[in-house]
Amino acid sequence: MANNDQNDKELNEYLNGGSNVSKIYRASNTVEPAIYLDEKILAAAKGVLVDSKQQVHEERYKSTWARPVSIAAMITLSISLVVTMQQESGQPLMSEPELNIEAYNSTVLSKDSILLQADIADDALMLDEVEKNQSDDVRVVVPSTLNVGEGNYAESKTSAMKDETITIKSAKRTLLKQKPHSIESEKREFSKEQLLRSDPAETEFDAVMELKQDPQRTLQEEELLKIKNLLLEGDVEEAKDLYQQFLRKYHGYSNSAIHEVIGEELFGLIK
Amino acid sequence: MEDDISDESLMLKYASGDVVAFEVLYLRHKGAVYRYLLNLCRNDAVAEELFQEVWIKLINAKEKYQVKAKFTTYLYKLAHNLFVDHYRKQNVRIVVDQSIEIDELEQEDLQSNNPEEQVQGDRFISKLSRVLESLPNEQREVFLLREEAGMSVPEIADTLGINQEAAKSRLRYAINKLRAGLKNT
Repeated sequence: MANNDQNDKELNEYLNGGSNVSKIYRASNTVEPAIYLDEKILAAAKGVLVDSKQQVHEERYKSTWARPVSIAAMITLSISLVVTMQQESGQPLMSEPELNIEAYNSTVLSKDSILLQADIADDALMLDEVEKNQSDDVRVVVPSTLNVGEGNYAESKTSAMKDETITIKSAKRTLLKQKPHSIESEKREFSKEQLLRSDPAETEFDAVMELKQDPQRTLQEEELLKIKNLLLEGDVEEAKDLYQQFLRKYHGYSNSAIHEVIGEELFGLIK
Repeated sequence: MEDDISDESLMLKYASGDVVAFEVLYLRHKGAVYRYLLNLCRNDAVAEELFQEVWIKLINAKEKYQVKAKFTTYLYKLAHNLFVDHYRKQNVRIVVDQSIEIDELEQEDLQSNNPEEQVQGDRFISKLSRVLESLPNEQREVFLLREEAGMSVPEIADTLGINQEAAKSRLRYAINKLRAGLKNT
């Protein structure tokens, strides 16, 4: 007990700074860290501050554009993902228009041109008849199997001739049933040179079209169209000769059919 | 000017980007921390390594620093933890020189006159140094915290994470042994 009291007294004396142990210790321990350590640590302290300032600057810079850009990217990716998924599943998009395309004026005109280029004489009679009966609206139903674009229309013919030809023919028939508004004017603009087309695809198309027709009728109509062309070019005498030959050759051919092919006005010139 | 500012304020100033505040803080504590570690490790290389680690850790923790206790408590807690971690990593058993037994010390204390009166010159300094080295680690650390950091018993207890009685007891033993060592000179 007395021993503990003595220890406490000495401890208190030491804590109050009255002990020589402290004095001797402090006198003997004056060692300091090396200068290189000081430099290293102070440099580290400065370096950290510079780094944190740069980081703050970078974060501020990033925050101005990073968020809007990331949101925009996220939206774009989400939309494209949804569209892709819907397309792959075969489900039509909400915004997708119906595939039954009813009005493609540019396509129609292109087909008109093709028809005219294909065989203007061959179809002239039918077209004239159509002109009399049909309205001016151009409405063509393009089959869904047919690529609507003009370029595709020409390209596809070479790759799958048979199928495409049938498709084209049906389009032609549709055209014939419904009068294109500018067929007559376009028809007049075509010269002979235009009739001899350089596009192999179109030539193939014409050839196939001709094969599908009655050969006997084509022969007679061809001769009538030659006569018509001569009249259009102003070579009336030559046209008359050919007409006489035609009559001798096909004396049973009906006048009304000749009228239809050549036309009322032109027929008056050779009559 | 900045010498009057408290350690805590200096640390906060450094955290807000004032490098001069850190320099003041470092100059204020560098010697004491170094001596604390050196006397604790008794190895210059290890002491230097730990000394650097303490300050680097402090630098990196500047943004997390909050004034909850005295800065010195925070600083020496860092140093103490690094010292313990270092020896755990090295798997080194800290050898405690038990050559001076407590009973023996108490007997000497009972027999002794006041040893402080006998302390003179370099002899005493080297003797104190040897006795300090021979102290158990816990007692030496408590003594060093008192001498180098100027901590009170409650602060020592807080730094080491022990109760105040244990801290007081360790310090008492350390002082008694040092006195006894000096008396035998």
